[in-house]
Parts: sequence; C-alpha cells; structure tokens
Amino acid sequence: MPAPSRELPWFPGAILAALVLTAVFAPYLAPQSPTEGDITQKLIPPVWMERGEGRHPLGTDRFGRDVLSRVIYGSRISLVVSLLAIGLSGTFGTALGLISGYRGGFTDSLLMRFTDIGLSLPTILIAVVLVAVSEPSFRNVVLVISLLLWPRFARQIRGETLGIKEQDFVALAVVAGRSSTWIISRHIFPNVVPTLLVISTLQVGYVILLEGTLSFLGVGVPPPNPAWGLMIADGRGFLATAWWITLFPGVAMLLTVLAVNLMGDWLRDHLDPKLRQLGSRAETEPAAIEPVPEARPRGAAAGADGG
Amino acid sequence: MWRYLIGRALQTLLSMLVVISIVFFLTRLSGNPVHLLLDVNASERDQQILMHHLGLDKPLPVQYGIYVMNIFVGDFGNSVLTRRPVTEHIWERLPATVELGFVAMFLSVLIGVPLGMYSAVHRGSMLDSAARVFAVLGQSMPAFWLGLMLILIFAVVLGLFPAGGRGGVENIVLPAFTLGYFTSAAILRLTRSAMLEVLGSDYIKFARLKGLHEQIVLWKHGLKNALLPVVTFAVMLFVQFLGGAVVTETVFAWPGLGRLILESITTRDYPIVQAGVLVLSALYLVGNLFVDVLYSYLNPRIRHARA
Amino acid sequence: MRPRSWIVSMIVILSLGGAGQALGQPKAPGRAEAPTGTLTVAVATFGNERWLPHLYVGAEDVVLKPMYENLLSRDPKTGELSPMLAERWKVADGGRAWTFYLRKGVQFHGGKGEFTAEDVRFTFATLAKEGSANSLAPEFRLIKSMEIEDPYTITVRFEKPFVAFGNKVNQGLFASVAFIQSKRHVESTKEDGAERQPIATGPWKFVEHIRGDKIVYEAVENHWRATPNFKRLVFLKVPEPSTRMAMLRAGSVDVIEIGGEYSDELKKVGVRTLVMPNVSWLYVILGGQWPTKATYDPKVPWAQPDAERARKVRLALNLAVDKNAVMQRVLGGLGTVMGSWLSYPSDPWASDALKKPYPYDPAKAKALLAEAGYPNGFETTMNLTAWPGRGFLPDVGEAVATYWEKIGVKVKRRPIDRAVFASDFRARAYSGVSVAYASPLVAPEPWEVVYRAGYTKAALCLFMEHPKLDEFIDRLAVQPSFQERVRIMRDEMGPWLHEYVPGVAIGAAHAIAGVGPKVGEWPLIAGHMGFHNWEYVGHKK
Repeated sequence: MPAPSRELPWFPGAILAALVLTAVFAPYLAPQSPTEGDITQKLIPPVWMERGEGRHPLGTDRFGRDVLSRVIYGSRISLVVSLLAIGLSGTFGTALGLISGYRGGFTDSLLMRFTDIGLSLPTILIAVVLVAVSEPSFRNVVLVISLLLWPRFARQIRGETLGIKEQDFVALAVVAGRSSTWIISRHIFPNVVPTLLVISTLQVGYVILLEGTLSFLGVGVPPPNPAWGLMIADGRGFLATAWWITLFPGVAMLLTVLAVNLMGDWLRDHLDPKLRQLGSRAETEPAAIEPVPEARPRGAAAGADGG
Repeated sequence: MWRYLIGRALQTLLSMLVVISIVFFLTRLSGNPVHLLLDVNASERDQQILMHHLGLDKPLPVQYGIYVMNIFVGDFGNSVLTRRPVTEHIWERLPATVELGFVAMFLSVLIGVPLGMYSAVHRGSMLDSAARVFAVLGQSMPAFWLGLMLILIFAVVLGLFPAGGRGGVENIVLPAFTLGYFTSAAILRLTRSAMLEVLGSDYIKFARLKGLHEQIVLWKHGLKNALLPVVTFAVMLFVQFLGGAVVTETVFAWPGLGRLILESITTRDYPIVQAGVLVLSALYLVGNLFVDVLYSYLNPRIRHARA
Repeated sequence: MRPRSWIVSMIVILSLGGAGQALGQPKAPGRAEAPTGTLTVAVATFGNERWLPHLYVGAEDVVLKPMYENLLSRDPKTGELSPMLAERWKVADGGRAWTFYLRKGVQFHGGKGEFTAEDVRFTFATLAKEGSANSLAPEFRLIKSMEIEDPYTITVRFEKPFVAFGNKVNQGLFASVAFIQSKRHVESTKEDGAERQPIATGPWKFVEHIRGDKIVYEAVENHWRATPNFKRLVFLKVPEPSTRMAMLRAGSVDVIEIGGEYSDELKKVGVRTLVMPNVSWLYVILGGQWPTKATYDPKVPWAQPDAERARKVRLALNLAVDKNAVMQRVLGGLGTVMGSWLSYPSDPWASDALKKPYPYDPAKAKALLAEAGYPNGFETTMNLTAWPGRGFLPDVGEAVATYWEKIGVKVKRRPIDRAVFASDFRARAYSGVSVAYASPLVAPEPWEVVYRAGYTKAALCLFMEHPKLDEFIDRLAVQPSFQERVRIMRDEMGPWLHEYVPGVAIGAAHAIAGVGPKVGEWPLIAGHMGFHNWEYVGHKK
C-alpha cells in the first residue's frame, strides 16, 4: 500500500490558488459591475444558449446583473468572510484554549464550562436571533459566525495543550523559572500550530456554507452584495427558467468547499502528530477525548445542517 | 469519582442557567411580540393590556426573576402566540424531530462507517480517495441546496418519494439523507483514523500473527475497538440533529423542533425560543457530561488529572 | 349600499397554458352527489393560528375561511354585497342604524344548536373588547348598542353614521374577520376549549389542527348554502416556496400559494395557474410624512417643511422608476400599472387621468432633484421586508433602489424581518426610510383604506398625514350616498393625491395560485386576495 503523497495535492491546491487569484484580481477579471443591474436585461441566458449575449458570458440574474461578475466578486466575499471569521474566532479560541489547558484547575474548569455553553447553543438558531437583534450586514455576518466558531478552537487547542504540557521540555522550562507567558508562547503555541492549521482549514468550508445557510434564512450578507450563498438562495425557486443563476455560484461554492475540505484532510494526515505517530501514543492520547479535530460532536454536527 | 461526578453535574446545571440568561436577554433585544400580535391600528391601550397580560410590562430583571423561579418548579411559561404551555408545544414537535434525527444518524453511520473502514484498510489507494471525496462532497454544498436537488430528482422527476411533509416511511428518506450525508464525512474521518490507530496497535499485530483471517481481524477485532469513539460521536450527532436540522426541516416542511424555534424567533414568541434553546443546550450538555464521565472512567490517566 | 361596479367587469380566469376557461356558477345547494376525495393545499403561513375573533389578526384568513361564515358575502360574479347568514339588511338613520334579518335554521357544527342574533351580538362584542387583536376592533368599538328584537333580528347602532359597516361584516376581502362564533360553545368550553375544537356554521367542519403543520376540515353534508365537492380539505404549512412548487409537481398537494414572481417558472414546468386579478395595491412608502408627530425629521428630503421642494423630491423618485418594467419584469406582467393611489383599474372613481402612470423620465427626475437642492442626490435606506403572501416585495424594493441609483440617490438596502419593522411601523420610527408595500384590499373604497393609513385623528400607523386628507375622510365617512362618495373620490380626493405624490405608485398587482390536475372549476370573488370559496371548487372532469 503506497503511503499518501507528501506533496501538496494538486486538485485542491489548484482550486484554492485560482480562488485567491480571482479574489485579488476581481476588478480586472469581471466584465461588468457585480451590483448594478437593469431589470430590462434580466434573466439573459449564458452566451452559448439561444438569446445569450456576449456581454454576459454566464447570463444575468433576476435583476439584470451579470452572473459571471457576481461569481467572480463573490470569491472575495467568501474569502474575506472566512478569513475574518476564522481569524477572529481562531485568535480568541486559541488564547482561551492555551490558558485553559496550561493553567488547569479552576481556570480550566471555568473556561471549559464557558466553552461548553458556547458549543451547546444551537448554532443556526442563535445566528438568526443575533441577526434579528442587529440587522443583516456584512460585519454582523462575520461577527455572528465568529461568535459561533470560537469554542471549537478553544476545545481543540486545550486538548492539545494538555498533551504538550506533560512533555519534558515544558517541565524543564518550569524548573528553569520561565514565566507562564514565556512557556505558552515559546513552547506550547508553536506545537499547537499544526492542529490550528488543520482546524482552521476545515472551518473555512463550514463558514462558507454557513454564510449560504444564513442567506437562505434571510439573515445573511445583505443584497445586492454578490455572495455565493445569497445568489444560490435567491435563485432556488427559478431552476426551470433560470438555472444559471444558481448553478454557477453553486459550482464555485462546491469546488471551493470541496477543495478546502480535501486540503484540511490532507493537512491532518501530514501535520497532525497523532496520526504521524500512529499507535505509539494511543493509550495516553487526549485523542481519546478529542479523537480528531472534527470528531468533537459540535465540530462536525453543528454543521448538522450547517450548510 | 463521586465527587467528580457531582461536581460536573453541578457545573452543568450552572451552565444551563447561563444559557437561559443569554437566551432570555437576547430574545428580548430582538423586538416586541405585541407588535405582531396586534393589528397595526390597535390602540395604545390594547397594546398595554396585552403587554400586561403577557407579563411584558414588568421591568426586565423582574421578568427574568419570575422566569427563572418558574423554571425551578417546571413551568416554562405559556406561548405568547397561543397562550398554551410551552411544554405542550415542545412535546408536540418532539416525535417528528426524534424520528428524523434517529434515521439521519443511522444513515450517516451507514454511509460513514463502511467507507471509513474501507478507506483505512486501503489507505492511500485510489478508492480511499474516492470514498473520501464522496463523503466530503456531502459536506460541500448547503443543505438547502442538496435538499432541493433531492426533491427535484427523487420526488418531481422520478416520483419515488414525496416532496415534503411528514407521513409514512417514504416521507423521511429524503430529509434524513440530506442531514445524514452532511455528517457522514465526519463519521468517515473518525472511523478511518480510529481504525488506523487500532490497526497499528500491538493487539491487532498479535491477532494477525496468530494467523486469523484478515476479515475477522478487521471486522471483529478492528472495528470493535475503533467503535467506541464512533458510537459516542453518533450519540452526540443524534442530539445535534434534534435542533440542528432547521434548514432541512424548512426545506422538507418537516414539523420538527428546529422549525418551531425558528418560526418562534420570527414571531418573537420568547417563551418557546427560550425553552426550545434550553432543551437543545441541555441535551448537548448532558450528552457531553455523559461522554466525559464515560471517558474518564475508561481512561484512568484522565481521571487522575481531573480529580 | 351600492355595489362596486368595477367588480362587475372583472372576470376571474383559470388559465391552462394560456387558454382561458370559463367558470360556471356556484352550484345550488342540495345536490345529489356526495363529497368525495381530498383537496390538499400548501400555504406559506397559517398566521398566528388563533380561532377566536379577539385573538386573530387577519393573516389566518385563508385557513379559517373554509369553516366560518359572515353575515354578508360578495357575489362572485358581480361583487355586490349579498346575503350570507343575514337574509337581508336595512340601513336607517343616515347610516347610524343597521338592522340584519338572519336566516333561520342554520346549525352550528356538531349539534351545537341553531345560529341566532345572540351569536351575532356575542361575536361583535368579543371582537371589540379591550385588548382585542382583531384588525377591525377600532371599527367595531364605534358600536353604541346592539338590540335583539327577536332571535332572528338584530339592530346595530352607532353614534355617528357608519356608512360602510356592511363592508366590515361581509366575506370577500382580505381579512374579512368578523366571523360568526357560537356564543354557547365559546362560553361553555371557555377560550381554550373553543380554540382546540372550534365550531362555526360554514360548509367545512373542523377535524384536526397540528400547530405549524396541518389543519384538516371535513365537508358538511347538506349544508344550507353549499355542500363541498371534496370530502376533505387539508392545509399544510410549507414555508419554502420552491418546496411548495415541487410538492405540486410531485402530486403531493393540489393547490399552492405562490407569488407572481414564480409565474414564468410554473408555466415552464407546465403547472396551471389561477389568476386573481388586481388584488393588492403596490407602491413604495416614503416614510416620514407626519409633521405633527414626535418622530418627524425635517431633514428627510421628501418630507421637509418646504412643501414644494419635498414634492419635487417625491415626484423625482416617481419619474426615476420605470413602472412598466417593474410590473413586467419583477411581477411577470401580473398587474396593472396605475398612476393614482389605492384605486383599481375598473373602479368607478379611477378616472382616465388617474389611471395613467407617471412617465418614466430619469432626465427630468435628475433635474427635479437638482431644483429641490439635491444635484448630487442624497442617501436613503430601502427596507426589504416580505409580508406573508407577498414575497415579491423585497424584489420590488431592490428594483426600485436600482432605478433610484441611476439618478444619483444612494440607497442602502436593509433586509429586515417583519417583526422588527412592525415596531418601527407602529412607532412611526422609519422617517427617511422607504419600503415597498402591497396593501391588500382590506376595504372596497379607497377612503376606507386611507382612514386606516392616513387619517391623523384615527390611525396609529400612518404612512402619511395631511389636513387635506383628513378633510376628505371626514366628509366621505358620513356621506350615505354611494354616488356622491364616488364623485368626491373621483373628482376631488383622487386628483389631490395624484398631485401630491405621497409615494411611488406602481399599480395593482394580481395574485396567483398553482393548481394541480384534480382541481376543476373554481369561482372566485373579484378583488379578494388569497384563497377562498373552497366549497365551490369542483373536481376536474
């Protein structure tokens, strides 16, 4: 049986590279404005179909906006929402997880119960309440998603920290009289980075789907922003007459999420220490509690229908 | 052990109190149900009478106090809309929700475990990748989209299943698959890594050395030992499905708990939202407590670390 | 009461692939054939799911109507007020006294006794009681006394003339909510019991209600008015429109509630649609035109104290929008573009001048904005709020916002749920905010609508206020002659509103329903938004 390749997988890699390039160069790539439309030009089919027009290669939506341009600009929204939400929740969750795991005792109990509460709230319903309180906007969507994500980071990182704390080099540093801050930042944090990377990657897909779900429920990124989720949600009732307004953003979303999920799987296989040292630590493994980054129920199932 | 148990149980209770408080104040921030219960032309006096009747005219801290006190005697209040006990509404919806959650969990395991086993045994092969891509695909599209596609293909075009609503066995297939497919990727990952771990253990090496048939090694010795995390995960998944299926319930017109809460958010039926979220959180917290206790019982190291 | 002659000229068509199909008369009662089969209907909402008159608001209308009856009805063909539970009625004392002569021998469901004047008095009193949620409560509170002369005669008296009271006790409009209840049943079972097992006198009796999911009715055989053709009538609540369409196509349901924006989609997949023409009045509200109220903001361009400049802004916002394009493109052509407020194309008070829409003239609009002092436009917010059964409103708002942007107005879109907006609505806290709105035809005459939406002295929820408007309403409300009311509306109020430009007028919108192969002829009452007349729905031959 061949071992999995150590090289970056080309398929997800290529898709993610294309995504980032599209997002960065959106203004140069998009043939039209993504938000301005003319309802007299609505529902023009893609260029290869009858009635198609060269100006709108993938056709226009219900308000006469160019679908291609919206899909292109949509990559920005997906990327920015994911980066911001994961950056925010990742930072907060990691900090909490590190402190909780390293300190142990009462601090740990307190922070972990706090995290449990965060995990126990039904994600989507709470998102709907939050947006109802604040009204939909780009900023609020990012904040809501971050608020829902941080406990996942906190839990995982704490689990990792617990394991690392037991290692000899940490004990030595304690003996050497290093401060907790020093130990956490120099010894423990670098060791949780691989896990952090894995969780973050796997969350990207979830965030993108969650954005779509929020749009479906009417509490996502407000129109006329070209968010993929919003486009799919908006066109879902028009599949027979105008399949192109949902198909193209749908494909873009599918490919992106598929790519980040595959990338996350690959990263886990290669970065996760638990899987690198198969079997050798099985009985001491916090993995028994935190089996794999996504195995913690909320990790996967908040997704219950996360997307 | 008992001290640990009692301590954790108390912490869980405290967590629930925090959940109640969060939801209580969050829902109050989201608008006044009276505005939806009355006609826009209702007089100021009608409004006051109704507010008084619903107990919404009291200061917020008083309302909060009354609410919490009542919960301790098992009174979750009456629905603002129907003025019937909230518990009645939740019980009304629970069977549909449990039914869907159970079948979805079953489907998820049915897809995830064999694929995960296969993937672990044939690690790195083409089929390993194919199995994983199949599972990850389910996690790569929004549930509302997958649901609508399933409806169009299996209900409208093929006429195999009803398009929505609750009824016989045939009604549950599509919504359960929509939910279950999404989480099957997580089950696959979990089974795969647990299997890999078990397969690398001395125990399995010994079984192989004894010359046992490979299939017996895999299914009897391998799966049996890899199953614990999968089973706990499946249990938590079930808990998650009870409230996390909002979108699936909406798309398939399934009269479940998630939809009840979602619709109660839009009508600002505070008592139902509060009690609904509390029930879901409590299920999670209790499930979580159960899993933690189970693990700490099975894993002496952790038990000592916590005690 | 005079009939609204516009209704006469309306025909309701059940179109099959474009080909119209004529509708027959409702069948006479006492037919030989017994009801058979089940008619299943998927609707977006059940409203608040309340059954008693002081608890429901009006959104329940569609699902309650099969069971309940009113004193009066409207003729499906002519639209005239017609007898229902009252055989005839008499208006006296300039509209201050309304006497209803009730039908004898009408039984409540489940052997709960005969319908009498006591039930009428009980219903009206409950509807008007303090804390009532009913949208007609303000009107019914004007009742001074109710006198029962004998079990079949009741006289309702008012302090001031109430010339349109007949319109409040009839069936045949959106939210026709004075449904007759059984006094004995409600009093003996108490509120809770009456809500769990509601009874009435209509052609369908209550079987089951699973909240948020299903309501089941069964045909009443040998009903005094019309025995249904179907044995069972089942309503399912299916909030997602694409699911409703799929259920209809898959044969899981026979009728679906759906917005006009889906008409092309339904046509494409070969689903028959039932068109209910001109049932709601579509316009964009420009919030803030209430100078006497605390939330008045003089900086709002279209409501500023300088009346001339404010009018120029409102006119510019009208000229900037291509109403025909909105009607054709957003609503799939299901509507009639109009220039006047709250008048329907065939209303006797809708003169030709009022029917003509403001032209689409972006250049003129830009010039007007400049004249009003906004050469570079201004910033405003467009709320995108969907009302139940009117899911197209956010689309209309989006289209209008796009047009405004072309003349330099910067429009922030604000998708906002109805609950949040309802608070703003009540508190008049939406100065400077616009919102696309479709008024269902809650009253046949436009002044009755204005009474609810633009009468400073009565209305809490104001779209606008103006002393001139109050003056019109004061005159119309006590004018017993229908002819004279028509004249005032046609020659005075209509032209004044047209000139004043209170909002962006778009026109009258149709409503549609998708129907499956089981559904045969279905006579509808013109102007009635939402489903009704279930008892007359025939089997498809």
